[in-house]
Amino acid sequence: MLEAELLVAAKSGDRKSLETLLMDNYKIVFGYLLKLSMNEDTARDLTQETMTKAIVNIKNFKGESKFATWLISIASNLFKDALKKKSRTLENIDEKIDLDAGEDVEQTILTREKLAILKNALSIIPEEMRQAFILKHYYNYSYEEIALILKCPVGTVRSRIHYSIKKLKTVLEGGALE
Amino acid sequence: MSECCKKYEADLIDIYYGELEMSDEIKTHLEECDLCASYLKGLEEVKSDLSLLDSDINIDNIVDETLIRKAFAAVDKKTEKKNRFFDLAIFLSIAAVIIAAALMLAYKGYGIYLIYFQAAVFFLAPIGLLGVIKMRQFKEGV
Ligand SMILES: [Zn+2]
Repeated sequence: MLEAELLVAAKSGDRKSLETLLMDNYKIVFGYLLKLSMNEDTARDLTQETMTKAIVNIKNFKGESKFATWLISIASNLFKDALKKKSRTLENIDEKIDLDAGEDVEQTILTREKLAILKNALSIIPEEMRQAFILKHYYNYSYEEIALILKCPVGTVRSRIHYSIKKLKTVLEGGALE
Repeated sequence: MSECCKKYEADLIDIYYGELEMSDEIKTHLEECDLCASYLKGLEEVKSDLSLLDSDINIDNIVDETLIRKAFAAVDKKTEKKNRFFDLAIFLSIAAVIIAAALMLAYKGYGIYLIYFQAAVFFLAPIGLLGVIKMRQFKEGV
């Protein structure tokens, strides 16, 4: 069944269709929140909240964007709210997730080091900048779409992304982590 | 990086993210300026470093599909609670109307009739109930 057909059915109250839609987009939302929060538990909680909100508000979804974009938008708002409620600390997920070691141990160590630098670099980028950056870099949303998702002007989105990539570039090229 | 190159820096990021078309002016500048060319190359290298995060976060390993079921259950629970509250509100409203009507009647001097009515209901209801039970037994062929 196509997304549009599933949406029509879901909006008219078909639970199975809504479940299918949520299942299809679950990984996108979870991955996004995981990159954003760098914390598995936070990502899991917020994903469930996102799904709950989507179930409650499915009738209000006008279909102006893709369903995944709508979910990302809900997730972004929930993340913002969560940050406001309590400043959740960014945790390193290195301990929890095993990196595929492969055959080359030296390469793995280098990769691990680079990954640690990358996570540190990402963690020092302010959340609202990181949100815009992740949406652009990992999800390839346009500046306009990100502006709609984050409810801010396109110019702001652009400058947040520019700031983030410049910062990351500097750090990953061996520059200082301010 | 010179001031002249700095103005291309932002454009190069937009080009890198597909938000801006590569103009002839920038193309020519890239051919002539090693700094800007290496800046663009640097962006490409950053891309491969950033993809490390995707390989590190292996979502399939930590995916928890019960979350969706839990979300549905949470919504059901909320809806049920809301419905229960709604029922209670209706019950309280009806009760309030009846009590208000009774008080009003009592105030107007019809209190004695209310007592007759209540007594009648008190005695007639069990008799009526007996009738209902008999009818049901008759229907069921007992
Ligand atoms: Zn230049």
